[in-house]
Amino acid sequence: MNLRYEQQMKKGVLEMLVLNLLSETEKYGYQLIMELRDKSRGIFTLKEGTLYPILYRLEDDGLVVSRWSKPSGKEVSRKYYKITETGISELAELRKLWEDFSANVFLTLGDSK
Amino acid sequence: MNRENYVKDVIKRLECSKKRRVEIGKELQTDIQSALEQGETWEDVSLRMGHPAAVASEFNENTAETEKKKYKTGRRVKVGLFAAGLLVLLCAVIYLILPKTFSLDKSKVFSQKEVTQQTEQIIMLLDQEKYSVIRDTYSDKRMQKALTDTVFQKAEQAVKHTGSYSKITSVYTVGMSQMGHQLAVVQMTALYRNSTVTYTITFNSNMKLSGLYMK
Repeated sequence: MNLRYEQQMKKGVLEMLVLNLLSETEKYGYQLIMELRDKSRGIFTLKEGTLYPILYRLEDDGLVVSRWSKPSGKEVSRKYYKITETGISELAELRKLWEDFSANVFLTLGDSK
Repeated sequence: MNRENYVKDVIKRLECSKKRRVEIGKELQTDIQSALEQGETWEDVSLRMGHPAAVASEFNENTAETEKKKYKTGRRVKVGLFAAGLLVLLCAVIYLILPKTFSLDKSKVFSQKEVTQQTEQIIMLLDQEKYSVIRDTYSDKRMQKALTDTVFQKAEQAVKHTGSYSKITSVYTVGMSQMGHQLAVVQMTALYRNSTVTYTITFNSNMKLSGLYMK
């Protein structure tokens, strides 16, 4: 399969997946990359160059907020991202959209057989 | 390449504002640190992340258009300011190098009267073939070397062919300054029996001859 098609398809759901991970608790970049990889069984193995622009866009749109943690002991300062109330509402809408979207994609694929 | 250089290499290729570049640099550093704490080696991390050019390219590809626009505008402004600064500098240098003229009437260095009198005196001395007086009395060191007997002889031939001196018909004076040096330039036309000769004589600020031209 053409890798470009696969990447294009994945790109459409990344914001929703990141928001979903952040709806559990605040997380930092590396943690998001690892959790996304593990939960998707390797399908969504993001690189920093893909994840951070998504986080910045979500922050610019007011869907997440960030804070730098204070370094304690051996732990370095990290930038944590947290979902906002607007982000929670947006995630709910995106989930609904995804359900309609995927159902209709399946329907269309089924019809075309 | 160590991690500091790796991160530097990534951020220098980013097409976004300086503020965002600094932010990305800090986040990459903490990500690398987190990965190392999770047991990855620096080699594993750099291999997973990819070449700095590829990491930056991915960032640039995914960066919002508004951010890219901001970066491009900022860059254009920087280039524009640099070009404008360079132009101003160039103009200032040209202004300093180019000779500027001024009126001898208002000069604090030269006296219009003295400049005119000395020019007439030199023309008289040329007519009387008193070249050594011109050389010794009116010339500065460089002119003393330049105004050899041969030079005077050639000048003498040019003047002699015009016949005997009659009178001065026109005088034009101007001051010139260039790179901190001031000169007085006199153009005096002398009438001879058979023709006219126009002398252009230049004095330095010590009223010594620093140029002699005749036509």
